[in-house]
Amino acid sequence: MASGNESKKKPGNPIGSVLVVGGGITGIQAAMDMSDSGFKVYLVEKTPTIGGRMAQLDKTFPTMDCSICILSPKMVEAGRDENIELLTLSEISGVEGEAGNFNVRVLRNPRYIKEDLCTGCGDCATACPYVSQPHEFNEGIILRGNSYMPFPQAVPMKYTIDGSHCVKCGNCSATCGPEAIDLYQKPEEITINVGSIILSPGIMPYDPSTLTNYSYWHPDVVTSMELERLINASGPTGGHVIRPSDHATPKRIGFIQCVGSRDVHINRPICSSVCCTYAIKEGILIREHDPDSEVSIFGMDIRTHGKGFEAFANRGENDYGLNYLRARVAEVKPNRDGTLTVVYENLDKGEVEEKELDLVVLSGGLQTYPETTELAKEMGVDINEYGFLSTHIENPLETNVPGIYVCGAAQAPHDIPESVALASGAAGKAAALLSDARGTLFKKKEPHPEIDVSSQEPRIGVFVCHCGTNIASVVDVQKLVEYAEKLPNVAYSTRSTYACSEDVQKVMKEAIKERKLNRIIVAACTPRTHEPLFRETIREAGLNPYLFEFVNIREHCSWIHRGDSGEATDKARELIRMGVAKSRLLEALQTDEVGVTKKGLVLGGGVSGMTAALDVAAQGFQVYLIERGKELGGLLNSISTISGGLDPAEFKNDLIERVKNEPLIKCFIGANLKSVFGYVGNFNAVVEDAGGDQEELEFGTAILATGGIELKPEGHYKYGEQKNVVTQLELEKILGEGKPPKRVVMIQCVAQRIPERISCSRICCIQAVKNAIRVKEFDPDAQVSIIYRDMRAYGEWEDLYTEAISKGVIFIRFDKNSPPEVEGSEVVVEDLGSKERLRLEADLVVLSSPMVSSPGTDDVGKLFKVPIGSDGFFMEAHPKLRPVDFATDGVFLCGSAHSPKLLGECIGQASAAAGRACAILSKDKLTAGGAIASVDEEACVGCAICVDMCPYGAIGINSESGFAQVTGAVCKGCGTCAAACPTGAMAQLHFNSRQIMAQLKNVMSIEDALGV
Amino acid sequence: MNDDDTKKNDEWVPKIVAFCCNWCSYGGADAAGMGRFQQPASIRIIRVMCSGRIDPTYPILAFMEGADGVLVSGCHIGDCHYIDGNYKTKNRYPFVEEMVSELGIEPERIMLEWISASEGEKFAETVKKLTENVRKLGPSPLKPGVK
Repeated sequence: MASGNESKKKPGNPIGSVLVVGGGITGIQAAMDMSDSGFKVYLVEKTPTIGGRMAQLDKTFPTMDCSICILSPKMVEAGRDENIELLTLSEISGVEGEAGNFNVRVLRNPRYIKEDLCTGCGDCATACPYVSQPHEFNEGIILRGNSYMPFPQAVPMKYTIDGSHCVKCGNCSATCGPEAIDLYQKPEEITINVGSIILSPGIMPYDPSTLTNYSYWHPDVVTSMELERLINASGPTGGHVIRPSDHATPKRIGFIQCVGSRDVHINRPICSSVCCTYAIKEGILIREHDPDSEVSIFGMDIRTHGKGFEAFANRGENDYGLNYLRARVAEVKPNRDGTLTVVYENLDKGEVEEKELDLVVLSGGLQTYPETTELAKEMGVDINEYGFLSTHIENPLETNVPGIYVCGAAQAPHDIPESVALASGAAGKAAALLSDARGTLFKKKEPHPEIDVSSQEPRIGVFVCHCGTNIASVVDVQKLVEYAEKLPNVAYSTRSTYACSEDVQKVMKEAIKERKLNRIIVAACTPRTHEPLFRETIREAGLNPYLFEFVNIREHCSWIHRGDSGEATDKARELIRMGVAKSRLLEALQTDEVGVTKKGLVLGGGVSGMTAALDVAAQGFQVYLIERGKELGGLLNSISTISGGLDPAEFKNDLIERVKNEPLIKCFIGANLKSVFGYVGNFNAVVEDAGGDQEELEFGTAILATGGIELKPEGHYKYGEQKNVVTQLELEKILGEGKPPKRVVMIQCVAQRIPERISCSRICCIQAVKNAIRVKEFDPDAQVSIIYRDMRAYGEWEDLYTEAISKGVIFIRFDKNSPPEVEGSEVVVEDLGSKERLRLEADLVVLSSPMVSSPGTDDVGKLFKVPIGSDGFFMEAHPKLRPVDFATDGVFLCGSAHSPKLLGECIGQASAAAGRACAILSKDKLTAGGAIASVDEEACVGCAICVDMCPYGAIGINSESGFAQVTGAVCKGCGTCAAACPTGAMAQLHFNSRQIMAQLKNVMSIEDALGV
Repeated sequence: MNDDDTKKNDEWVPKIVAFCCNWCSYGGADAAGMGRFQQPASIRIIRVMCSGRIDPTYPILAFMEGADGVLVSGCHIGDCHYIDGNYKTKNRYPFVEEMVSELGIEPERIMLEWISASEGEKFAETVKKLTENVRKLGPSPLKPGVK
């Protein structure tokens, strides 16, 4: 296979850096994975902040996580990463070179605010008198000034001036304390040299203005993105869904699906994959906010094919009363009384109906940005007819240009977990290409000799920040400085206009040296954004970073007590007193390093396992590939055709060949794992082959690719009773052997989407359509019918569905309450469209039975101590943002072991798991320690309560001592063990009970503490 | 929001200790600041990484140290940064409530609330509500000098 071999060719002397284009969640993930793997990253983003579309969302399905809450920590982490250079407000203007060595010209548009000086205080925004531009982040629902921050969690947390509308009145410059504003900044072109390019330019929602039949001009017809902002608590209406025309609460809300998707008239025939689920999510949110509302979703099919999405859709229907109408909408008509009427064809009744609504939401499809097309042209990257960046099914991450990779929704309509997984996959591919240059441009933290303060009496330095006028206009800063001076162990107290500014860092370092300070307190804003800065400052001055304490007197004081300066100052004094009390007890915490066994283990020799093993080997690491069956190949051994012209046998043989020829891969065929011990970087296991011979393996990471199997649907539709009833995989076998029978009837959703097995198996609709076309190709006169509930030909598979229809495959929809019946060579079904009872002649009845997890998945779960979900598949660490990780560090999953998947999806996820695993293997040492749990063996009784409490399996009972033992490399420092320990033996460092008690004791009045 | 609707002059401001997790509720308090949602100056936040760190004895000890009220707050169920720390908080909370009432403290003085990092307004509303509850009751019976 050409592309596979091409990707193995490595350039000589590659450059150890990478360019990531697009700073949404996909680009952030790719950048963080590259940095984690030892590469320098340039992250180019055209807007003022990273975060992308995900930052705009209110909640994410199906877990209803608050979107910005789970995204923001990642944004902050990426922003802080020394090896990720954020180039915001930037675009690519030219690319030259080849894989391993590209020169990229980047146009940096002016922010008109110097990033290094801006403190994010917002005074300039308040000063700007021209509030007249649509607020992009809020979808234009409200206006913003010309100086603005897109949203409070923006990274970099800097203001931006909208140069195209600013009239340079100078009000902002006059008010800016640190003199950060430069209204005469010019665009600047820079050239960066990188080894590889990862494209993650993302998507935008389809603009429905051109579809006049939906009356988008009407204020009460909104897009789903506008609704996300309306329903968001920090959005323009504070989370109250309103009818924009009169701000009344809408009672009857309707979602119109497939706006800009599955529509041949506007050349947007493909399905956007995510809209059904997000509409259900938004519907649930509306109902949660207003239980009296009524929500209808008008769609041709309900496509909830993702992991856990079917249960989510059921919840929407049963618990929240969402009304799913199988319908095709003709138009939205505004009425004189301000309401709207939706005219639609009810597909369940075959009739045209009308429904009156107060608010219409258009579920817009996903499309790439116009700039993506230009970017692709500039780079010579192919785009497909729908504007997405082209890839092949067997290589979903590689573009036609070697060294340029693609991930996220710009490759095809993907949801967040798919995008995040592909990001890790693309990063893995780029890391493999550049593995010879790993670490060459990577900046390691400079070591600074640390002063041992353990025997010193605390000498605390307190820096109180004015934050321009943000703090000082409400709180009497001078009073605070004077007060702090009198507190026990405070050796120095001072104030500064902006504590975070560069010059104050110098002052702080000098003060530490000259005044022999061994603890530092900054009373300013929030540790969530600024603690790392000050920790780094004191580290450079020779203090352990954990000797720093933050006191928040801005967000938690001056900003929220603006009316009473006296009270705010009193409160700030107490907060400082609490901070000093804790600071006195702070301890220097050390980080340890543990070694890494630079070998990977992959369990399962199907397409996912083989791809993962090859990708790990491509980064230069040894891999053990363990397959319990007699041969490699997994489900590929049972498939006769793959859509897109790929020959499965050839593909499989090529893959097996590459695995066998790869010297870094050691295969164990017909072998099983008997035991697994250890933790990230340091696992060991015993593998037993078919002959009973055992071998001990050591490895640093494990990838579980144990796959799935097709359920034998005994008891359904006479399967097992009648010879003419087979499954889709059994049909594949028949198709592989020769001509199929003439009359074929397929039944979808067999033994799935029912109360006993709620989930949708995702792949069966596409498999059925593919096999139906194959039957038609053998014999165009063959009669092929597919009896279905919802045709889930998501994404670009919609094309295949359309092809089947054009080839004469007959699609018949049935109601879940009246399933078809198989009677000998006849299938009887009530067609929802025509309401007729049809009797179909069938030589062969093919059942679309679900893919279930492989037998033995439970045992593997126990071996690696990783969880299994109620659907029987492995459960990832986080369904949205950690799709291929387990909560247990160093263990990953991919392919159908995660949930049923198509070939290309397995390959993408396998590369993702390999990329994540290699980030660990690429390190010589893993850092452990810091603010983690610690056991006082004097007090420990070995009761093991903490062992059960730990969500990461970081605690065990030492078999020799009988005491609890924390594995530093695994502990995440949540402290839940410390809260549960009945003897107080377990402590969370940096948040230990003495420190918390000291804070508590200092909460009370100033008079008590000082005797004033 | 009107600045002066949070406090009427010379009204007693109780001391309320809030235990907040770093990722959600502390962030919610930050978001309240960013949104300038005015609140009574009653809250003293003690930051922990996860609400699962909040030892059930801490709220009790806060009362023993003279707090008039206690707020325990973490991520919404399902949103925990550490997978399920807040479930543990949820399970431990009834014990805290029981202990508090054993000490003769009115149950209205203590509150458990899930607040996300984007719910600044909710944080402010929670502070107002709890402060109002405590104000009605007056100083804690365990406060030094209070009978």
